[in-house]
Amino acid sequence: MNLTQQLLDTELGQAALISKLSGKPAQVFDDVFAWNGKILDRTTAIISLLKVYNQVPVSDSVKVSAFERYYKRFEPINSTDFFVDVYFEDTRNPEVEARIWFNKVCNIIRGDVKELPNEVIKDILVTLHS
Amino acid sequence: MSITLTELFGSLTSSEYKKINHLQPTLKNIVDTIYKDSTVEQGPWIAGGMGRQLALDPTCQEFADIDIWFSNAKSYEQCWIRLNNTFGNHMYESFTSDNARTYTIGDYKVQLIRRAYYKSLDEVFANFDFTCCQVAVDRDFKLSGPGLADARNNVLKVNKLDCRGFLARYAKYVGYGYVMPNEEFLDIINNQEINYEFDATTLGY
Repeated sequence: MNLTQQLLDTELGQAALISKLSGKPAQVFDDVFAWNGKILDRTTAIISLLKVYNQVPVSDSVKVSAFERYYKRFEPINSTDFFVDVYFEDTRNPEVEARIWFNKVCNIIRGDVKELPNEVIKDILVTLHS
Repeated sequence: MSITLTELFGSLTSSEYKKINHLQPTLKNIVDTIYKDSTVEQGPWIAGGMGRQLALDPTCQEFADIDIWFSNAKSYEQCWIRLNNTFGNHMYESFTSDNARTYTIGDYKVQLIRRAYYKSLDEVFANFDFTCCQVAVDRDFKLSGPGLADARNNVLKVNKLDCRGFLARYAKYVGYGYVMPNEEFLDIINNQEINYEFDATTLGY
């Protein structure tokens, strides 16, 4: 499914609202989810979830790869509030940009919840694979 | 009696100097050195991440690491000595554990695996947790192995489930762009005793 204005007005808006209320990801379509009001692809959601709550390390190369995929895929909505954007200096350094972006994603999914029981982590992973 | 460095090095003849003139740490030189005097049956074998990356991009020159697997401790020691003699100051140890010794050789991270020794390349393949890792690289950079198709097609499937490290390893390959079929992931997470707590041991360092 393409990211159209119709999608923004309906599925994404609803999923974003549900995710904000529940603090958990809500599916928009296929492998696209809203989490705490932001749009995330499944890959980004999984690696950030396991980084935040399970201390699974994420290498710089993975951050750069996820960052580039995210920017390309969600480019049509990069001016909306759903998009996770970061401020860049003029001198572009993909690794630094990716680290800043990934840190922002982690903060978004963490919200105010510092820890999650394993059962909740499991439920979220199941949701991300629905 | 004392001797200056100039006197010491000045006394080296040109032929002696050549003995310490090591090879440049290019990818080809590293692979040639690993496979020198080796056989397909006895190893050593390069398999895992490097093969997976070459399956995705045959022109790839940057690898997370080059994993080397051995049939016995003697083969392991001989390979280490060959690398040391060939690359000298271009090579230094960057990490050591019971599982492996990791060396930085030029721009490459070379990992000599010693947590176990393997009777054959097939036994090495059987040990991998995900099928996309079941790819070997020979001395001519030709790829082989049962995981070649999955590696090329970004498919993540379990070969041998390691409940302790599954989620961390899963996250790593998802991060690389691999996709596990929903049914397979749900079957594992719903039916297996998956570990959720990670430290250096569970992460396999």
